[in-house]
Amino acid sequence: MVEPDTEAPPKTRSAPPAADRRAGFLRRLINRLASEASELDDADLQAETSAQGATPIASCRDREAVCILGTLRTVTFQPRAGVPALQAELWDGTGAVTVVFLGRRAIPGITPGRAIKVRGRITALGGQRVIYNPIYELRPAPTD
Amino acid sequence: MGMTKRLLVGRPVRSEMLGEATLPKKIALPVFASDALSSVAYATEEILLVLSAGGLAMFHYTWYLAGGVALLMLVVVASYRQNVHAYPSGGGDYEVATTNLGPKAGLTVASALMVDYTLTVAVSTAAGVANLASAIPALNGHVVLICVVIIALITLLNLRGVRESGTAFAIPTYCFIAAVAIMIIWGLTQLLIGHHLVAESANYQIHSTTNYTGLALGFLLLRAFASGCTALTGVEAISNGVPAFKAPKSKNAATTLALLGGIAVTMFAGVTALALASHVHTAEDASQLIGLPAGDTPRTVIAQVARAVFGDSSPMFYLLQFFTALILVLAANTAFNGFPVLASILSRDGYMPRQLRNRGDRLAYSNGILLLSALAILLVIAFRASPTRLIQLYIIGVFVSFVCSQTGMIRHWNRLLREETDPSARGRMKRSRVINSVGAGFTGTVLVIVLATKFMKGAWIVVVAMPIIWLVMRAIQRHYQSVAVELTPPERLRPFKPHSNHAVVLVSKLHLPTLRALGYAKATRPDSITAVTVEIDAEEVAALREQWDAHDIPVPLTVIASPYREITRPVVEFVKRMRTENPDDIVTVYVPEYVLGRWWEQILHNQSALRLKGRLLYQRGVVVASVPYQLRSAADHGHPQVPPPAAPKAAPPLQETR
Repeated sequence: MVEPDTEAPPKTRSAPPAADRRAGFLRRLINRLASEASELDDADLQAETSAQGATPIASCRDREAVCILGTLRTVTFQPRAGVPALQAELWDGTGAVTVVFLGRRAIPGITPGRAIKVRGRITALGGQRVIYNPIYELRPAPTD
Repeated sequence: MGMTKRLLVGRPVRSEMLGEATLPKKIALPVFASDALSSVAYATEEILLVLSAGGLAMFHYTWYLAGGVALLMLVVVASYRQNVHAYPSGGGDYEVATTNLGPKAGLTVASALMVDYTLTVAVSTAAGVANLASAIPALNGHVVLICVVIIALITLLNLRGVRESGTAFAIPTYCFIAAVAIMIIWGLTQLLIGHHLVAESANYQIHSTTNYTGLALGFLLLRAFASGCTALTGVEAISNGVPAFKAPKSKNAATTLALLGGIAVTMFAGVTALALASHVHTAEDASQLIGLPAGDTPRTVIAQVARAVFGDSSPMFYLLQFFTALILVLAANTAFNGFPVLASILSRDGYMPRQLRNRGDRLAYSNGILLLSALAILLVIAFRASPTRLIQLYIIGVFVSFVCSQTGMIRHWNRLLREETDPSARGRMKRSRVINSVGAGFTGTVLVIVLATKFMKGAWIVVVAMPIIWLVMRAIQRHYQSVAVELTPPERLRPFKPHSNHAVVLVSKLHLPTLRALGYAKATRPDSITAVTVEIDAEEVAALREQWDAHDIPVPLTVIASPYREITRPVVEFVKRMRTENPDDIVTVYVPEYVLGRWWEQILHNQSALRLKGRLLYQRGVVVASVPYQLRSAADHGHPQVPPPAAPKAAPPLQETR
């Protein structure tokens, strides 16, 4: 049986973590002003996700074939000496998933900040959600 | 910087040299008594100044007031002799009050004493400079500046730690005592022979606006008495310094106290007698003195007496003025012995910042000395170095501490009497209790008088300042306590290892500092390792990746997107995400830094690493490791004898870890 995903829905970005709430008023104000840009971006991403009929990462279930739309927050290049595998963290405004391209050291276009649409089967690996070797489609950045 | 300090303060002294240098009575007397004796220089004057408000007719009351002050002095000295026997550890009034009346009373004493030590410095220097100016009238325009310079000099001497050289104090103090004694004897002899002593101000009339009768008269007399009580300051100094006496410590300290009381009372009475006999006239406001040339500042009373006794410009007059100024400066120095020690005791008990407990290069409590000096200089500037105005704030603190410690002593004897059965010991204790009760009664009454009469004249500043200091000290203590509670580990808690350790090495460019940081991070054998860079410019990242491959670096490189060209925030968010995935883990962030030798070089470099370190400090479970790389300028600058790090070999050490 497939266990239903017991992971709690990820916190929305607007709820500040406890540490921030304890911080002073000024810090909170600065944080709010500073995070505004990214919050707007997240809203854009979510709108794009529903417009394209993709699944928000937060509502993806384990071992499900999904289509996800988001931007690459980080890209990790493996050293020449190690096993070739390109890793990237995909963020769609609701959650993050790691996409792994096995056998590749670099893929043109898979760069940090790039908007991308991926199709693949989502799995959990040590608490992290991963999609291996997805079918991907480079997209113009949401602001383009 | 280091060079200047060395020149000013001198060579550092080893900690072992701290051993308490014990003083024989003949040295201890001048060391501790300069404050109490120096008030002879202005106590008479303060009485006369207040009385002058009622016109010349008031001056005949001086005798009674001086008598009252002398009696009070004897009572206080007798009371403190009991303190010295009962509490020989040198904690002074603070210890007596804390032990017997509780920490709140102790804090009251402490805040009172701190205010008063500061005022001792300000009043004594101001009075000393006023006396110098009496001898050399040209100085009158620059008293504030001279005061500040003198305080700075005393500070410097104390930072060098002259405390140990008691002889340096002995000579001027004894010279002052001798000079005043000669003046009194010479003056009295002249009076006995039938000569008339005439002070320069004897013919001045005092212009008084109000006629004092009834209540107003009583109030004026009380105010004059309160001003005369300045003679009592400094008596408590000996009770703080008992450990510095030669054995038997308590007995020697008590004897010294008695000597001090005797000398001070004699000198005070003598100067007052001569001032009255020579008809010294003075007034709070120089314009009230009719006959004084316009624009002149009247000389201090002791200066006028000396001129009347020895003649206008006789060497003895100048000598006496010189020693008066000197002993006043030494009195200021007494506060420099008391304040830092009190502050260090308070900081030991958690009421003052810990820094006040540190001994400096020369084993003096440098921070306390600097704090006292700063406060005193502020006071002197704010009050334009006017002894008369400063004296209004003075002695409230001393009397608060007198009252608290005497009340504490009554409790002390009550407690001991409850358990003591030996009749002779009981008798002695009862006698001591009587003395302390009298002391508490007298000082309590005087405190009320001083408060009532000086409140509007400026004493309210002290009345406001003391509770503020008290509250601040409580707040400091509460803070230290809550920190201590939070830091105390539960019982039998072993050091715990984090579940795993993830290393993150910050990379901006691939240079030697980066390689060193990567090597070091690898050497700690983390559970996972990644290098992190922020993509501001895609081409730079591409170049970095090429170099990464060219150098064959065995660490994955993570590139973080930064759509808004920030560096700090994306990195902090990245580290935070690593943390939320595994809350039991530790993330170690290695920050390569190159260290520059010269300050102007630092301006040229954008130290974003520093900002990042500051932000990461507030993240739980994150350790920031700074991996410095000293540039040649830094190596030359800091330690010229250490050779600069050897140039790295062509093959980076990292490859060996592959």
